[in-house]
Amino acid sequence: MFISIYFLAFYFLLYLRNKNTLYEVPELKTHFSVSVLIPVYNEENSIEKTAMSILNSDYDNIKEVIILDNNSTDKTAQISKKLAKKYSNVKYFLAKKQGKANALNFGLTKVKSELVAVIDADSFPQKNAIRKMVGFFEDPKVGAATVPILARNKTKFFEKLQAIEYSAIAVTRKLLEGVDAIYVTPGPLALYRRSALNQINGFDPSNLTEDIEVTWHLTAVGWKRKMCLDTRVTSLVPNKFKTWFKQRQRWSMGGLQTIGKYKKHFFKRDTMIGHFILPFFILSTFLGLLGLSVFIYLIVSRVIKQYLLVKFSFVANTAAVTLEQFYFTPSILNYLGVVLFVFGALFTIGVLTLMREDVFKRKSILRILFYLIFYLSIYPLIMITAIFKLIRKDMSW
Amino acid sequence: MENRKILKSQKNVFWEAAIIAIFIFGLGILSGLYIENSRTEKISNLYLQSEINLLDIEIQSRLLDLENTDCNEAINKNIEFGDQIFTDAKVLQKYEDASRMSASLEAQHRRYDLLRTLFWVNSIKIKQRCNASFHTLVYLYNYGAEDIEEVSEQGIFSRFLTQLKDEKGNKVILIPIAKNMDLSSLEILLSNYELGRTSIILDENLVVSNLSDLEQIKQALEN
Repeated sequence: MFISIYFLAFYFLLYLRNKNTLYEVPELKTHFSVSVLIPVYNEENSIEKTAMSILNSDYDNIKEVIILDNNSTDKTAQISKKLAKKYSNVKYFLAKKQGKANALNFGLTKVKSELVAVIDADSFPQKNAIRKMVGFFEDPKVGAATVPILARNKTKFFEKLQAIEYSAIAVTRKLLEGVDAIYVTPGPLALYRRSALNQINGFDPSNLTEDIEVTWHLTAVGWKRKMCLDTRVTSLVPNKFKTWFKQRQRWSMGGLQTIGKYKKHFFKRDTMIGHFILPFFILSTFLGLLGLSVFIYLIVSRVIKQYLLVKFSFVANTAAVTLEQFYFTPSILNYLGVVLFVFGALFTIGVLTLMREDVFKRKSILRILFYLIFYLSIYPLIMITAIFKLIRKDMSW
Repeated sequence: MENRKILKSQKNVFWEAAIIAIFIFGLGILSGLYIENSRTEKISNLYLQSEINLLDIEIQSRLLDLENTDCNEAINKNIEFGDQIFTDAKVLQKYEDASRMSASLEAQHRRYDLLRTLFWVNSIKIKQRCNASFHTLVYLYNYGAEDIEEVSEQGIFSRFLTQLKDEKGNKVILIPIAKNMDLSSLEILLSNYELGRTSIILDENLVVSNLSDLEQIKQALEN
C-alpha cells in the first residue's frame, strides 16, 4: 500500500514539475533522413493501410519504407509487392529468418539513413508523427523516441478498457521521461538513431519483447529516450480475451527475460537501469504477485470457512445462513484501501484528461471503475502464467 | 555523467514522493489509531456501565440474605443485565474483528470475561436463593482461535445460542466467556467440568461440547 502511494505521489510530482513542457516538441532544424521498417507476418488486412499512413506522412525526408516479410502465408507478400511496384520508395524483402527481431536486424542491413523508424503492421501513425519525433534527435545524446500508442478499435467494452490502459501508459511514459526512465519504445512506432542501434548490434532475437530489450540496451550504453505527447499512433488491440491474455503474457515474459539479462545492473548506479528502471520493474512484479497471493489466501480461507459453517450448521441443526454474516465493520486497512482506490481513480481520470479523452460521462466513469477493479486485477495472474511458461521454456506466441 | 546530471536535477522528486507517501501513510495510521481508540473508548464506556450494573445486582443479591428482600426484583435485574452483556459481547466481537493496530481491545475483553464470570456466580446465587426459573447458558470458547475449523465451530455454537435466546427470551441468560484468558477464578469454577475446546454449560449441570449434541440443550430446556 505504501509503495503504491509512493508511485502515485511520484507521478503527481513529475506532472507538477513538467506540466508546462508535456506537449512540447523540439524545433525541427536538421531534417534527418528516415527509413521506415515494417516487419510483417500475415498482415494482409492492415499492411496497405499502415504503409499508406507512412507514405502520407508530412515529413519531407522519408527515404524509404521497407516491408520485411517474415514468411507470411497469406496475401501479405502479394499486397506488399504491389505497393513496391506502385511507389518507388517502398521496398519489399523476404526476411527468411523467423522472428520479428531477426527481420528488423535484416532490415537494418538495408538502410542507409540517419534515423530508423520501426512500425508494427497493425499500427497507424498520425500524419505528423514522424515529423514531430525527428526534432528530438537534435540532441546528439538521444538514441530513441516514441509517441503515445492508442487503441484504434474502441467499439467493444473490452477494447474500451484497453483504450484506458493505453492512455494511462502514454502519460506515465511521458512523465518518466522527466527522470530519464522511459523503459520501452514500443513496436507500434519508435524512431531510433541508426548509429545507436548499430552500437548495440540491433535487436535481441532471443527476447520476446525486443522493443523493451532494445530500450534497456540503449539506456545501458548511455542513450537518452524521448517521448512526444503531441502526436499519436493508433494500433489494433485484441478484441478477444484469449488473444489479449496471450499478448500480455508475452509482454510479461519479455519483461522478465529483460530483467534477467540486465540483473547485473541492479547495484550499479551508472545508468537509470540500476537507479530506477530495474527496481521499478522488480517491485511491480513482486507487488502484483504478493497482492494476488494475499487475495487468493483471503478468498480460499473465506470459502473454506463458509463451507465449514454450512456443514456444521447441518450437524447442529441451525440456520445455514444468517443476516449477521453479512454485517461488516471496516478496519483501518479497508479505509486505507478505499483511499488508495480513490487516488488510483483520480490518477486515471487525470491521465485520461491529459490525453483529451472524455471521462466525465456516466459510462466512462463506470468503465474506469471496472478497469481499476477487474481489468488490472488480472495482471498478477498473467505474470504467474508467464513465469510458468518461462520455466518451461515455452516461447510460443 | 549525463545520468548523474538528470538525477541531480530530478532527485528531489524521489525524496519528495517518499515524504508525501510517508505523510499520507502516517495520516492513515493515525486515523486508524484514532478509530480504534474511539472504539476502545466506546467499549470502555459500555464496560463501566456494565460494571456499575453488576455491582448493583451483586449488592441486591447480598441483600437477599436479609429478610423482606424482593426476589423478583433481583431476578429481573439479573435477566436485564444478562441481556445487556449479551449485546455488549456482540459489539465487542464486531470491533475486535476489525481491529488491526492496537491490543487494547484484548485487555477490555479480559475485563469483560472477569465481569461475566462474576455475573455467572451471581446468577447461580440468585437461582439458589430465590428458586428462580431462568436458565443460565454459559458459552465457553477460546479467544483468538486461529484454526479455521475451530473458528467455524465457534460460529455455529454462537449462532445456535443466539437463535435459542431469540426463541426463549427471558427464560435464558446467555453468558459468553473466553476460557483462555488466564483468569484464576474462572479456572477454579471450570475445574469441576469436563470441557471440550468449545462448550456450553446449562444450569451448571449439562455440558455440551459437540455440535451434534446441541439439541440436548433444547430438549433440556423444554423439559
